[in-house]
Amino acid sequence: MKKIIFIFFILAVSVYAQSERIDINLAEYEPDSGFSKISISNLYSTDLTNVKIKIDQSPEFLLTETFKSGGTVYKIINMPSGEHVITVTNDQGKTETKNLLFSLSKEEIIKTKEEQKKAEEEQAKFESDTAKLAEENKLSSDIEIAKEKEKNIQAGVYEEKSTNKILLVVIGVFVVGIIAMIWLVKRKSK
Amino acid sequence: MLNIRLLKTLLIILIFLFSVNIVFGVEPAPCDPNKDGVKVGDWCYNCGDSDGVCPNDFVADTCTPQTTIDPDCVSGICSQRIQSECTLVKDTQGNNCEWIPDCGGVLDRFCSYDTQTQSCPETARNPKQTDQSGNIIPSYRCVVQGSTTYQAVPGFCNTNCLLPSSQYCQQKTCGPNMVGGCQNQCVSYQCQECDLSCSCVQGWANANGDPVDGCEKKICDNSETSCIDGKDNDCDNKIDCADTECAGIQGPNNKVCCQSKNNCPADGSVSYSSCSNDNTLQGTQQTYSCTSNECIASNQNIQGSCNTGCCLPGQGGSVCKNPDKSSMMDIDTDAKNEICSGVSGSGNWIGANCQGQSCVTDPAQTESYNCVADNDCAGLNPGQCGEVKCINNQCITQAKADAQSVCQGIAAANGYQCGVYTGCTQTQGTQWQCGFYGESTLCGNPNNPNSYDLGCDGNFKCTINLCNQGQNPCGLCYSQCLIAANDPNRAPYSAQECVKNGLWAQCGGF
Repeated sequence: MKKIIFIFFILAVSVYAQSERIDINLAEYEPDSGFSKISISNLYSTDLTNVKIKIDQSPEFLLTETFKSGGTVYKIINMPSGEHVITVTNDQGKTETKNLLFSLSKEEIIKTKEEQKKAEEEQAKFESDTAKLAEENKLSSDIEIAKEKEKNIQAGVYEEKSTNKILLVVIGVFVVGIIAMIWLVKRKSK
Repeated sequence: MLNIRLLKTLLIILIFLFSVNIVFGVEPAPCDPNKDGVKVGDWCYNCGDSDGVCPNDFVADTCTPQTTIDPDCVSGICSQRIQSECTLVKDTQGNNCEWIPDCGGVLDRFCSYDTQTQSCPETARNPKQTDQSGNIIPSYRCVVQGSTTYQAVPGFCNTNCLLPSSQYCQQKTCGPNMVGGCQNQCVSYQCQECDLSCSCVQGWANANGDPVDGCEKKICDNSETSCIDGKDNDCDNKIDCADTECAGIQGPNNKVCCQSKNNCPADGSVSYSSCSNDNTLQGTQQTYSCTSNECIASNQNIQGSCNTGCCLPGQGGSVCKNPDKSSMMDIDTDAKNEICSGVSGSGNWIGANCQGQSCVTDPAQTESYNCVADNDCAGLNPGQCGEVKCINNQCITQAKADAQSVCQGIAAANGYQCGVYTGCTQTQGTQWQCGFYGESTLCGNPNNPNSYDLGCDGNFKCTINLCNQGQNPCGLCYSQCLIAANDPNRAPYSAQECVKNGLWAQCGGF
């Protein structure tokens, strides 16, 4: 029984704690015009004073000097679409912050997609330009190095190794020869 | 018997007469040149006692030149006698004098003591050698002793030549800076003077005409006319390359003359063949040094710093790349770009390490790198309030530090009346955009900020008439608030209250 009472007590405290807050909601929003109506309710059992509201990183604007307990204030503002952080403060230090999603209109979605596409194209162009530039740099560097190499050859500092290909051919012939010999020996022994 | 008596008588008479002559002082008779006697002083001597040649038999050094040889007048010194007198009488020492024809010299005579004196040995008197003409060649030569006497000395002769060969004669040579000369010729054992013929060498003149002292005057050019002729053309005691006038001009030995390295050809261009590290080139260079007034070329191993650039190697060569986007490329073939950074003061490949003739991926930097400075990222679109940055050699965009003021500038430029800056956020791709929301309280009366009839529209302009706002049925504009405030049955209870709330919320309000 005690346990039930205890659990009930905890739940009660929890419910009480849940109820002691400032409630922020988007009551109305028209994406085309940006008109929005945000409702702020004082669910505390006490009045709040000097209540201020802040949208994202904006400065704080006075909502009301006295916010009576149980009261609701509507804030009519013009909001662009997207997710915005609404912060309510007061002298009592009971700050409330809530992310409100201001939904996009059809036009805005199209516009956003277009912008997204444009941004992606810009990003791709930048990467393409970077790749092209890297290629050009490599090409010009190869030319510079080739010139330097030519100077070195003329000065006798560098001798081009032309025997590698010949060596590879010789090794190849040698390997083929060995295989052929092994094949012949096996054939004879049979 | 009679004859004996007669002889005795005659002898007594003679003795008597002689005794009388002595005892009584016989008076000298006057000297008669035609008689056998001579008077010397008060005395007359019997000429028969002498050699019979008068009148100087008894007085030394009183001889007078005469054709007849008088033994009394012959010198007591052998060497002073002529050939005909030589053996006539003994010398003052009682030695025999002997004529030695071998010792003929300029005076062609020699009278010496006898052989015992060894003044002129036997061998000297018996010449055996003859020249090609059959003339006797003296085996001893004579040298002058004093002005008239000669001494036979083996191997020497004042005549210089007794052999019929010019090799014993003096060779006449010309003076300094001359060519020519002549050889005295031997004629009859005597050297005949040859005619000395001399001429000056090129560049010299004989000022006084005397060939013995040579050509003492040098003929000089105004300058070192040739730097390869081995001559001091302008008489400044400097030959060819040593002359300052030859500096920088081709000299002997196919080398350029120099006084300092500045006169030598410019050092050859450096040929770089590899990299020591990311920052240092390695190669060779032909350089010149001025050694002994000649430009000497030599190959030097050279290490060249790329300073803030980077060494890029390849097969057989290496170059410096600038520390900027022009160096961005895949240098280690790992399909990722590397870039040279000179931020630390010395160039460093970001993403690779280069040495020798190749580069390998730097294990600490394995990404693809594309920038060194912010302006390398200029191709990126940072949006309204963003900026391109090169962070860790990669291009990114980020919100500007002063994004708020930038956005407020944009708001002002767009004529926003009620737009409130909410932040700079990344929206599309790399772009950062300014965020605003419309704050209707900013549409208030400037004279009374707490009062307003207009709300903020979607363009952040104060255009919404709150008094007739259908979208805001619960809101009252300021003028409506005033009316409401005057109606005690309706909230708000004061005009100020209405405005401060922003809206009078009949719907769901308090």
